[in-house]
Amino acid sequence: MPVEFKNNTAKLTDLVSIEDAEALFNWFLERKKHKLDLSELSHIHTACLQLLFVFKPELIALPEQEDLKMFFTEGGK
Amino acid sequence: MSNSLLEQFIIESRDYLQRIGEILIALEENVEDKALLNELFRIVHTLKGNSGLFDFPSMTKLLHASEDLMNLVREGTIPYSSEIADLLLEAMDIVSIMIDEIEDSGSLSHNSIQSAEEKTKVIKEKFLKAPEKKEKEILEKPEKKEKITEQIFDFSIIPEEFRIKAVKEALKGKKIIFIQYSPEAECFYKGEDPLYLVRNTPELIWARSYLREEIPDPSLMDIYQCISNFELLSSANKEELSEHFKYVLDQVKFFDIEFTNLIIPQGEKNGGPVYEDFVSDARKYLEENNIQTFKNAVKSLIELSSPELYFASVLRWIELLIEHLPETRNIIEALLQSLETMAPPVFKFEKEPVLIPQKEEKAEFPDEFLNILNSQKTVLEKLRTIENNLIKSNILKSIISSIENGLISLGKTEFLNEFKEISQKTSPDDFNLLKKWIEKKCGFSLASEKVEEAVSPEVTFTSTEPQEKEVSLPHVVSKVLKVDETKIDRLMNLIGEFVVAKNSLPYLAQKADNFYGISELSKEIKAQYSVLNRISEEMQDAIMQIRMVPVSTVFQRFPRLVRDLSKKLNKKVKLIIEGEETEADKNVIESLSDPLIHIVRNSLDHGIETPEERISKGKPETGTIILRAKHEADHVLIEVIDDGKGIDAEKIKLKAYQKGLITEEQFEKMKENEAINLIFLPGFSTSETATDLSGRGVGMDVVRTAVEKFGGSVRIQSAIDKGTTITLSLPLSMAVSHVMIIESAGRKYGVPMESVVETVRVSKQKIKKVKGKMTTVLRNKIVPIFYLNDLLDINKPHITNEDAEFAVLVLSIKGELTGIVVDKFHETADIILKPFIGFLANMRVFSGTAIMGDGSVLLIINPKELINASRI
Repeated sequence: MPVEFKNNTAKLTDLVSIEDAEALFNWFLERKKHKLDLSELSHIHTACLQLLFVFKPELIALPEQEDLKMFFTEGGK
Repeated sequence: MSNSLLEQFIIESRDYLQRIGEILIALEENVEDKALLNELFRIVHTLKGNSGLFDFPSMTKLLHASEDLMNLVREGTIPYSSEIADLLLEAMDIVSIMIDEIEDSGSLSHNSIQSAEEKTKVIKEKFLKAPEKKEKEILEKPEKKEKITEQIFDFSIIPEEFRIKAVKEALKGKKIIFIQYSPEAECFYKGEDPLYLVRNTPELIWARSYLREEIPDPSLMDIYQCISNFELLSSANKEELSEHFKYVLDQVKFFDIEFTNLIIPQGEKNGGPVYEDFVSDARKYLEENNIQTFKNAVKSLIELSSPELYFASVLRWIELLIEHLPETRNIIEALLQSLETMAPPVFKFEKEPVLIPQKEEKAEFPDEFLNILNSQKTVLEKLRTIENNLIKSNILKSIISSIENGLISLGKTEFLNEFKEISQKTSPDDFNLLKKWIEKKCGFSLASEKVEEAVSPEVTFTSTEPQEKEVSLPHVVSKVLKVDETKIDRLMNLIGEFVVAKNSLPYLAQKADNFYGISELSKEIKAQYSVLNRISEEMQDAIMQIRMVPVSTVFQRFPRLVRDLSKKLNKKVKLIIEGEETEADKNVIESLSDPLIHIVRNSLDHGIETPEERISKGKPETGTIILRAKHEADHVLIEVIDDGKGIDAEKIKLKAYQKGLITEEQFEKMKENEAINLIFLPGFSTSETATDLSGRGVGMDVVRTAVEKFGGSVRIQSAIDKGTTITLSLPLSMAVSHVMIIESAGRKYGVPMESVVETVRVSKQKIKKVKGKMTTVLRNKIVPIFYLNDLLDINKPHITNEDAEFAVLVLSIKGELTGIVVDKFHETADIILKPFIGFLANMRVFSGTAIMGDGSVLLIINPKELINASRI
């Protein structure tokens, strides 16, 4: 499962595809606080990426891959 | 990509190509016709745009080059010449071949790709080279825009480490390209993942993604709409990048950037004396070219200072730039100066900043264009009342393309880019942006009352809605419905089956009466039958009407053919087309095409003389070929008339004799008329040498076979030095055949009515054996007699009537009368002929079968093959 939800925290691993967008979206709507762990993320579909931008969750861990990480650092908002 | 889109593309492209060909030829006669030139440009532009939807880059490239060429012609930069016409026609031929290939296999062959590439090169080299300045001008404009972007885009948001990386690449001699990628909203549905594409960009240095829209209420957002934009820095070359983004090129903008734009020191600016010392030392090192010391000083200072300081940031930049002294000296000096002033560095060689407000200057459009905008706006306003999304999106497309074309022709590239962005965001559900844009542009240049005028239709619209809809939309939505031919064929087959099913009712009625003895029911069935019969006949008629197409669909290719061939042959020929509106069944019309090409080619090659020859004969220098179509009873007649040298019957006869196609006896006796018909013999050609066009001996016999295959005939009349007339006669429709039903050895057969001349009764004694062949005399003519049972290998004698007379069916086969003895004549019937398929297809004696009303199968005899069978 590329997205694991644990209360207010979601851990995204490996490849998060567009199929996960709806689950992610619902989680964002259901919860008031959102924490995301992206440390093991290798790729995220644009549809999910833009959800992160819309809901602006707290990122508790950035992706380890540099070329993905840059989308979540300063230049990414 | 859905297949239906491709299908649509193929259908539309064919239409466009057809029209392009027509215009190109019409233009040769009227070079000045601006309207035609514009139309031409528009069509090629549309075609190019459409082709871009699919992955056929070589086709798009070729169309692009053609479009550029047409644009130059349209602008009057280069005059229209027949050379250009040839080139463009050839280019369109290649496109046409490509379209055929796409339809057949869904992909392009290597050959056509190669010829497209070659043709593109030729167009570019021949015509687009000289005006390259123009291209450069066009290129320059975006460059100006780049400057604007550099001003607009704040490179300082890019983290320093990435900027340093980019500058490093630039100092290695690479070009840094800044890319803005704005994926279309629907891209997820196409299986696209813009982020994936961005991450795989060649030599990607940095990228970011941001939302291009504000989402006021996230709970209502459509998560499957892409609202992200991307910005990237890459050091790959433009070709690589174009290749990488080839499927979304319209959504991507590339900007070459000066690396100095990336050198932006950032950090805490708490001034101190250390800096001043460093600045003066550094200047000294630079002056003395003491690079190593400079380097060491910078290095140690970096280690000493806190990395968050502005000073540290400048140092980091200098550390990088030192490696590339002396080229970077100016930059280092500017950085040092910025340490003194604490203001961003100003690099001396940087060009004067271009004023951004230029973009916001009021749009100045000519009235013509404003009118276009206005009319598009009116259409746009009416769009709201249309329910059908497909129609809506088609209308939107047309609005967008007309405005785009307008902008292109005005050369307003700055507005074009802006407009393109807007049009991308436009969908049938949301075209407010587009509307606002138009309103803004109209508002800028239009006097206020004009604006009102443009808005007013909306006001009247509510009150007179239904009429308005009818009146104003037709010129937007074409009423012609394009339907795939196979669908009509299916309808045709279905109605055929329906007719057969319907025909079983009379049998049922009979059965009800005779077998079950319920005459009441029988009557009712008959009454129902008559109703069904009427409807089915009307249906059949209506479907036939759908299949009817004007012969112009075949004729329209001839102006081009005649033009090209006459040029090749150095002959002057005028082509007159008459009766092109004459309609016939689509299959018939299509079957005409190849034979007609043969005939017209022959006329050009063998018929029409060279201008000198014609003058010496006292004929006008320019020869005439008339292509005429007309209806005659249930046939369509096509005549090809030329005023050339005619056919020399004697020469034909001699040739045929020499080739052993006729015997000496035949040679002696043959009349002129018969001799002319010899040209229909297979392998006949009078031309001494085979030319490009005709004379390979596969001409007229092919024509005859093709026409006869569809139940038609060919006639030829010719007079020496006056000309030749070739008449093709084809049935209007091939769907329903009229047959005569005959009986032999207890079985029924159908014989096509076209070949039936008469039915006679001949007494046994009157059939005589002449030279082993049965003959009889009918109205003072000797007619050969065949027994159907013999022909069909049925071992039974034919039945005679009480007066010992045979039933003889007199047929006309290849113009000769032939008697066929059968047992009985029955009624005639309209049948739907189903040709044999598979293993039975070789059974030539029968052309197919038809199902009769009672469910029985009727074999349809092919008279020509029947007689042929007897000879073998």
